[in-house]
Amino acid sequence: MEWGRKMIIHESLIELNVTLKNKEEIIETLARKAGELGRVSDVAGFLQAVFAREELFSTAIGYGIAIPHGKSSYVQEPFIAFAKSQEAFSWDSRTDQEVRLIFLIGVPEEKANDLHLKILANISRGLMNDSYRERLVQATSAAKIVAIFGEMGL
Amino acid sequence: MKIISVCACPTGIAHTYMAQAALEKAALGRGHDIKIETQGAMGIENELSMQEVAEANVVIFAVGVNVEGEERFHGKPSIMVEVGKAIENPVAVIEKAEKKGKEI
Repeated sequence: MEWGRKMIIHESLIELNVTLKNKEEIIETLARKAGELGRVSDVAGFLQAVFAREELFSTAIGYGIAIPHGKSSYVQEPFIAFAKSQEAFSWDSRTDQEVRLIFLIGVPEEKANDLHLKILANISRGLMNDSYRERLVQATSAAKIVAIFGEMGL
Repeated sequence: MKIISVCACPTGIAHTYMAQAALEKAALGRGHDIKIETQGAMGIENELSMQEVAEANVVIFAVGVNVEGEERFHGKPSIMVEVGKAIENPVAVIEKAEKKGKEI
């Protein structure tokens, strides 16, 4: 399990205290980080998949959370990149949902490793847990965020 | 009440499992038995058996895509909701299911 968790989330994929207030810029910032870490081979190509998905319908899910995601052949290894905005902002003009926690998820086009998918599923379930969300809001370091993800992904 | 549910979304990596967790919590909180089948990127998990389907009072489809094996639920009282709605307001979905389940 240990290696799988490390591969999904990484300290360098975490951006705390984000002051950007629009989803495009935040998604781009996180995608670039994934590119720098080698999780994504072509950031622009990956972004296309994410924005296409976002077009379908907003990925704001309530609870102050948005989970933009893309399935793309440019994703080398499944990952979650995380951004916490200093203030809540309106994610999508089509809805009035305020968002503060952003989780950008990337998975490869071809069938991803089941372990990775399982971890993503566990983290998704974990986000429905009030105490995990509260701890993510309170966390002040990337290391802390990684540790919380680790607990959720178990 | 015995509630069963199928959760599924287009990419099957996040919404499906969030809806599962949210509905489970809301149903248990209101004193129901619930079992939720997920149809996601890992395929069908927690699959509902014939007996579980037969015994259920109501089915909740929280889906953004077609349900695999929909014929299993033929004739059962059911409600259909957006997967996002199940995540955002699971209690309202369970209440709706309660009404449907009581109709018979």
